[in-house]
Amino acid sequence: MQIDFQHVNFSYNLKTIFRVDALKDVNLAIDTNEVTAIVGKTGSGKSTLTQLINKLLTPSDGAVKIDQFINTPKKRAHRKQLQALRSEIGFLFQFPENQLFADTVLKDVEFGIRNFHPKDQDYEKKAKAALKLVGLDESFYERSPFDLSGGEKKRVAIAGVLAYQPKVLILDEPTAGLDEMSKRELMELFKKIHQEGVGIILVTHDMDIVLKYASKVVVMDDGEIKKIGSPQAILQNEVEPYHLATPNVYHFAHQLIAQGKKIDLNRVKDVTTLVEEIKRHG
Amino acid sequence: MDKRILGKYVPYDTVIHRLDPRLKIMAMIMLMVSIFLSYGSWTMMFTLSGINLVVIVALMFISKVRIRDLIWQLKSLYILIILLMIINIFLPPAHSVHIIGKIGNLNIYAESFLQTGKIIIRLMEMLAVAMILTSSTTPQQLTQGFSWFTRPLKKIKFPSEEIAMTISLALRFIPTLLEETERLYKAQSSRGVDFKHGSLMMKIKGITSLIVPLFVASFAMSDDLAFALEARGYNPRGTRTNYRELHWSTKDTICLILVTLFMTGFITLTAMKFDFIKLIFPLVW
Repeated sequence: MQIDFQHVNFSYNLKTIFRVDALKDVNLAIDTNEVTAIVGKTGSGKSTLTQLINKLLTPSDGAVKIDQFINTPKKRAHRKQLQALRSEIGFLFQFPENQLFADTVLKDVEFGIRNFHPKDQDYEKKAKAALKLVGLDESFYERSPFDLSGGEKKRVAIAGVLAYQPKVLILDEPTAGLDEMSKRELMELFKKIHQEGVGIILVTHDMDIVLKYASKVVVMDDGEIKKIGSPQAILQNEVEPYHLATPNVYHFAHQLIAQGKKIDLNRVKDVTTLVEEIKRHG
Repeated sequence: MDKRILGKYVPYDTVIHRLDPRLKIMAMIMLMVSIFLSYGSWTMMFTLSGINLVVIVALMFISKVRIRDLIWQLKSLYILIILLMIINIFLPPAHSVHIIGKIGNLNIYAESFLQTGKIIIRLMEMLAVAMILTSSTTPQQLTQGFSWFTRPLKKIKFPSEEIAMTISLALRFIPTLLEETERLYKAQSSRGVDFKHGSLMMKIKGITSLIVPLFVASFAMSDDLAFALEARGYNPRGTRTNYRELHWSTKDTICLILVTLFMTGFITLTAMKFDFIKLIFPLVW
């Protein structure tokens, strides 16, 4: 799927004194065959950018093309088109566990399928498959989502999005508030989903994750796109001006380089690849 | 989503914004009293309502409250207007004389429509007055003003400061909850809830998917808040000072005198049964 931003401007509370310009003339092409990471400090317009993709927001000016669908202020979308768009683009909000509401886990996961495809008879099967994918077994089906732990709630919410089999997943800080172990498990899950052909757009502050999983990075600041490129190319340079941190593995590699080791940073993605790189140079 | 919230504080710098909240509260009460004082014959009532309206519109201009917002509010009151119409047609006000039509055996009186108009005008005027107050005064100032009025009641152990604290906490949560609602609205829309179209069943389900998480979130938030207050040593019985003290100036005294004069004049007019239209067009009525 191809997503094109063409001269997109977006302002909150347009025509009032509370006006905030969140995006300024954004031009961007996203190919969902690769994992795109959108990074930048808080308030730089990352969330606004992603919310334009499934028309939760409509641009103040310009157009966002999502395959056949065009999100622009000039054209009103039909209800069916909009539902079709949203069923293809799964949106996982930050702290998705807060949106659970049904009385059982299974019902909550089925919710999306039954909204988008009311005639689908296989909803239960799909919901169970999605729960299995996120690692929750049968014992969870009839439990109340409010009795679960934070991590389990998050998994249920993710299953709720995966259940209607979107073609693209937008992840808004999926690892916020998780411990290191759960972070890794979750990112491995998304990697697996991506390998099955689901496009991923990732918004995050964690540069280690960006370096390891993303193939393209979009750096935003103050509503504008400052840099686009591969994670290696962007993170090797100075990133502090955009309130980003150099990944830990790069800090380590820099120290090794300072001691005279030969390391090609373009090949380093995480600790494993760093070790390989050290071995390669003997 | 339409983010227009009726009577939300708008930070302009007008004369009305700078007045003391205590004065504004008193003025609001007096204006509301005069709105309800407009009675008597129809012509007299509408004259008095008209005077009120002129004053209120002038105040709206000064405080930069958008009249458009008020008219927009009228649109959402259409069910009430229709209901009032029906009630007034079937139960016409006392001493109705002007028959303008008939449905079967039922006489339709002109007074029914006048009565509906009267109620709507009063309601809109009241809304406007409240809007002027809340959009020119911060919630903090308002609570401070209200708690000043209840201060004498402390002698009879009325928990005036506790109530002020509760009100200011409640007010503080309104924007947070609105933000949370919007976040949930977006989250559930991207899960396929169609809040605008769809069947009634679908809408009810959609609203459930907003309300349940909202309740859960607000309980969690209030828990956190209670802990945060306790961790910082909050004592509900303690006497507190304010960061911004209320300051009564000459300007406020002048305004108080003006408003009082206005209300006294209004009472006099009502008592005198002043009928402006009858005075000018004695033949028409």
